[in-house]
Amino acid sequence: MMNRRSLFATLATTFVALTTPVFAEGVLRVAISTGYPPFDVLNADGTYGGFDVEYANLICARMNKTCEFTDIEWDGIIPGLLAKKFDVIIASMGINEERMKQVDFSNPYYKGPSALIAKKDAGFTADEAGTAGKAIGVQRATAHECYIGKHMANADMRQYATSEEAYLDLQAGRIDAVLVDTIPAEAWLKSDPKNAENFAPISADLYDTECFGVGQGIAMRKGEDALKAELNAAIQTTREDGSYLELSNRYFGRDIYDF
Amino acid sequence: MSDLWEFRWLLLKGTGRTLLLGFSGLALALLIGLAGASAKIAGGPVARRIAGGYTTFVRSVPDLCMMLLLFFGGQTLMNKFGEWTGWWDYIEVNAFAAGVITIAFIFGAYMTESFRGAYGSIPKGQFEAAMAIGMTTGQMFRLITFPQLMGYALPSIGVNWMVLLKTTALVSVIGLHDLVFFGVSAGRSTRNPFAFLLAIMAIYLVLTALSELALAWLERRYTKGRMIPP
Repeated sequence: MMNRRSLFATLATTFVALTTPVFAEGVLRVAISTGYPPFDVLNADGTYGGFDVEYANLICARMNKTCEFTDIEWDGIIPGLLAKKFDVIIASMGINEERMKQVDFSNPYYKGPSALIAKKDAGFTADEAGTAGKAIGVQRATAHECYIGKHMANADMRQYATSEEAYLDLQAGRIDAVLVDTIPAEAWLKSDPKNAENFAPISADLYDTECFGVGQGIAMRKGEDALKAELNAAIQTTREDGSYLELSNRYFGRDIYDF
Repeated sequence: MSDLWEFRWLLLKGTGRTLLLGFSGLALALLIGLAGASAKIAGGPVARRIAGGYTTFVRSVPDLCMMLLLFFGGQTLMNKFGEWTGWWDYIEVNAFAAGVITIAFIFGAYMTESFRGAYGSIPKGQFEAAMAIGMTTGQMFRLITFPQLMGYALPSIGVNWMVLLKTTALVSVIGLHDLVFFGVSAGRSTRNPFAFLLAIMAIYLVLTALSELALAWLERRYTKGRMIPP
């Protein structure tokens, strides 16, 4: 009998040790998904960098909190939020109707159109007729899927875990174009002279409010209105005190708050 | 190459995490396997059915699906339970624990089959002889069954271990930072994916080669007393 009791005690202790109480005061648990340069980047020393990470730190400071980052695969980011693994997602997540069924968003903290990137001599246009039968890569579970379904319905859409993989297949010639956010695409084109030499946006910037929504926002669980108000106030403050502009200029040489 | 060198400590840390996850998962899976095999061999009709259901279920569901189900589904279930009883608002299911438990849950089923198969290879006459000299069930297991069981089960356990080690890569989806997670994320962050993928491959190759050496040594040890060498 004694044995069984001590076994139970051991199990109970193990359970407590494996589960840690959270909701520490003054901590905002922020989810990011590294591997999306220049927004979410893993540094060689294991720390995180990029526009999203630095902006998250600005936001946390304005809320008198410290950010506690969780780096998670993009596919697990909304399930993780819903399971309360973290409080907010600050990972360049586009605000759109599909996601708003599951989560709430703050006001947008930056806005960027999308672009269709292809070989310079690709010779097709970024509309429904031009892209018919063309293989176009997108990051899966993003607004770009929506855009292709709506405006390039006859294209052969290929979904990738991240846009980095889509770029690899574009370089390898397996797909004809990628539909991506313009701002990180500019960074990709600049990252290697070969990219700029061979590839370019083949259209003007693409806008669609229904798909791309109104920009990138901070996601949180539904019904957390107090948190939402706090986040919106913090975003507002970063606009007013110039810290946003400094950050945006440092990364992109311009203000990306609005189109 | 310079990117790889810069990230060496992170890759090393990821390798450590992978190994820790692999060994913890293996230990727990072996325990589950022994329990499962005992249930299948010596259990009553209920225990036998439960063990049978378990191995059938696990071997038919994709690992990734199970991992997502246990990690996110389990967490949501615990949150709901806490809300419903009012006992807690939120308790974190540690990603490492969830990873180990999921891996052990999956590979426990394969280990069950390994042990059950191995048990069948032990000549029946030995049990009769043990009973004839008045050994208890416990003595029989400790002195006759287990030492030989390991010898017969090792080749199959070895195969399971190799697969298990690679399955640990799936944990990156639930936010655990193993070798593959660090490697892939670093590859994307530096826009140099192939260098990192090759490095991951090389590290896994080393781990597998070392495993093979260790398994060969273990096999020699556990089959020392066997009349016909394996």
